[in-house]
Amino acid sequence: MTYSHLPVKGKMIFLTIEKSRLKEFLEAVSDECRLIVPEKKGKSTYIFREYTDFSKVALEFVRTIIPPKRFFFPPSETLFSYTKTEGLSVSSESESFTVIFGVHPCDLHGINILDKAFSYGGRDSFYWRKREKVGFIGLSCLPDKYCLCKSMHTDFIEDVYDIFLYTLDDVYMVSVRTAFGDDLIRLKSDLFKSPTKREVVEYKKRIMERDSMFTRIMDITNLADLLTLEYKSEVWEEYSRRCLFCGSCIMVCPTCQCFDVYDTTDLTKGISYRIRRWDACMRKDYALVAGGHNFREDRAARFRFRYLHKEIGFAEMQGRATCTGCGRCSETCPAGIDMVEVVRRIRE
Amino acid sequence: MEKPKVGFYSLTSCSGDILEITNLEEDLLKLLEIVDVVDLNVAMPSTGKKPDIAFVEGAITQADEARFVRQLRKQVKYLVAIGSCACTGGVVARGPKQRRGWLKDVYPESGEGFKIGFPRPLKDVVQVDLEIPGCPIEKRYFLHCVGYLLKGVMPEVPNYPVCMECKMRENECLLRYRGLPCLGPITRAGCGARQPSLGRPCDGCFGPYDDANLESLMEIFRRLGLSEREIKKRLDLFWERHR
Repeated sequence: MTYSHLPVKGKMIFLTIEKSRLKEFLEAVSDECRLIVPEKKGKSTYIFREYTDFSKVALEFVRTIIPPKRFFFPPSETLFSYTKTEGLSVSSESESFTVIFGVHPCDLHGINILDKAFSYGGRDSFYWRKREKVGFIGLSCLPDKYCLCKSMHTDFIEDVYDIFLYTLDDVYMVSVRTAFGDDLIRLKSDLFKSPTKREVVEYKKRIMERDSMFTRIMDITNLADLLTLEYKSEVWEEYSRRCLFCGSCIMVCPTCQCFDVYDTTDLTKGISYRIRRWDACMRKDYALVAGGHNFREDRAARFRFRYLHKEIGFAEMQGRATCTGCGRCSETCPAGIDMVEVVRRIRE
Repeated sequence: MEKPKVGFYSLTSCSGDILEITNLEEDLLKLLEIVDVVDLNVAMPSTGKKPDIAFVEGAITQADEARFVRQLRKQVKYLVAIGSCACTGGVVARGPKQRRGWLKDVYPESGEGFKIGFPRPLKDVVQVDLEIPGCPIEKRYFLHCVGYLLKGVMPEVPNYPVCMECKMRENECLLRYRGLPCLGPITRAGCGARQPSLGRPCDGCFGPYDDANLESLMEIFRRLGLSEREIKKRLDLFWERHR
């Protein structure tokens, strides 16, 4: 299978596939490449993992614990190794081609933001080596009480994915965006039909319904300005007393991209490794520099920094705030700190 | 070139940390090619040679032990505390108020024997160059530190909580989703979230990282419905010293 993320020429292609035949399609995809799917983890949590059995695939879930970024920006990875006899060896493990199924619009937006971040001022080869070999089958979703995508304008996507499935009553409406998506469809082209008029009507009804289901709205009008003006607000101090600085919100964020680089040795094999590992700007040592100066030692400053960086800091690079409204940080925070509430307090 | 000399010493403890080192098995044999082990009391008689690096487990409970550690400090380049007892007093230092009663229950007649004081971590008696926490220590963490020390460099050790490692493993948060009193948010990482990954809340054996917000976690425990007594009990095992 040749691979190209280039959009298909001309109009977008819309097809339908019966829900009962999705299994055949996914099996065909998994025969061709490594397939990652959402699965249930705990009572109400989900994770992306290797496809094993169609009955385990979660089709109606809101969010996974960690966004799909970990498949091309893993929590920890070896950059290079060094031995006395052989010198430096840049890790160049060839990644198998991967398709991630079930990615929601917010996470696709997150990937778009990461793609830009890892290209800003030069391509990050470790990221792109993996990222270039990942394709996406998007899946529509319905919001829960944490979803903020509508406020962040990320509830809909026309980019990044190769195929996107919109859930209707009996079928999925399939949007094919890239040449690679078209290749995937051709693996089992007999499963796909042109949408009927009735299905188009249903599709329109569904998107309207979904739009009315969002219960949470975060007003982001002038937010960057307000955060700057309220730089000295006591709100930061107040929340920093509650915040555990555990880094959970950062680990689960689809657009957090900071990493730390450190060395370790395997004494028994005589190999040294340079490793990069996810880092968190809320960590005390994050802004510690040589000589012992810390730019953000104060907890309130660190708490504030995360908000400022999400809403303002990346804006120059991304042209927008880098929150995708996926709701993970609010859902996962052990201290129950909710971004919407913090922003509301700042607006007051 | 002469191999660096390394010694392992045990004070008041269960010897669980040095046991972990003997459990390195194949790695231990390779380590022996790199270093000269001068003392490892659970596995061999002392060679009588002085070490360059001393790894000491256990808490200091007797005057003899304090003397021994002070003497050791003078001899070595690096003195490394290994395991919770050596780092914070650990399990040995549990229940400062109940100790007297416990001692009476366990040793009904106090004979001539030795005198014991309240268990102290190494750092209360001598300057410690590095602490390798854990109950028991993590083998990989230990080897990572040894690798650095042999080069004469202080190792990079995690200064962030277990939560970060737990999230990296994509575990369901025990505190958030199951209401279990996990000490992960305040405990130093390095174990790869061993207990939470098996569905058991973290007991905090690595002790606090540098920025632990104990007050906030206690408030969360109260909101979960834990009584003050239950909270105290939760911290009793490894956090006596940090409360």
